[in-house]
Amino acid sequence: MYQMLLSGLPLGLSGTKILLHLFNFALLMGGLTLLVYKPVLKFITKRQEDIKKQLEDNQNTEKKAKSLLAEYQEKLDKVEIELDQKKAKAEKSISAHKEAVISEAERRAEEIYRKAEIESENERIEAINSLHNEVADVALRIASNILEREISREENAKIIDACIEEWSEND
Amino acid sequence: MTKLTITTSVVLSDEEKEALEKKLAQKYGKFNTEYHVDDELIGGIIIFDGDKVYDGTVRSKLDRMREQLYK
Repeated sequence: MYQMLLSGLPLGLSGTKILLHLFNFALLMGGLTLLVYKPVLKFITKRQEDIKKQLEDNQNTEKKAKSLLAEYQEKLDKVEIELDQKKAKAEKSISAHKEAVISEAERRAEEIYRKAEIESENERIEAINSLHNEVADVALRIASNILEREISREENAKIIDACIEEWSEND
Repeated sequence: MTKLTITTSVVLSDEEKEALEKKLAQKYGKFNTEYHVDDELIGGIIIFDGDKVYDGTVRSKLDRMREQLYK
């Protein structure tokens, strides 16, 4: 076997060449390991770590985003509740104001009606008084005309005597 | 001496004036008289003695009646 190796193998191969090739190959593999494999491995490991870190960052960002989303959703819900409450309050206030306005309008209408009634009554009384006075005037004018025609000198003298007697008694 | 201003609705005759002055003498004693006529009085007499007015006319009675009716 050894001799076969030293003297040469079929196909022009020799043991030395094979050893040399093996040595080359080992050298190549060693060189490749040092120059390529380790840096590449280092690169790949670093890349893996970077990707892992990025994934972690993404997860954290996602968590934060979800947390923010939940927070804002809560705020939004609160705002909606607040809005509903304010809306209800405003509607209540409008309703109360409406009632107050109607009530005030009714009160004023009643007041106007009452004043109109009083004015009407006053006018009626004034008209009656005016008529009463007119009738009195007419009656007195008639009485005056009758008396002017009917009082004789003798009656006039009696009136004068009666007046003087009355004044004398009072004094 | 007191001065009496006498107003009547008709002109008084002398007898009427004498009778009137006789009655007034009981109150005023001696006095002077001034006579006026106002047919608006209708009847009766007004005497003004310088201090007071005595109104016994039919007109004044009618006026008082008007005041009462106006109440």
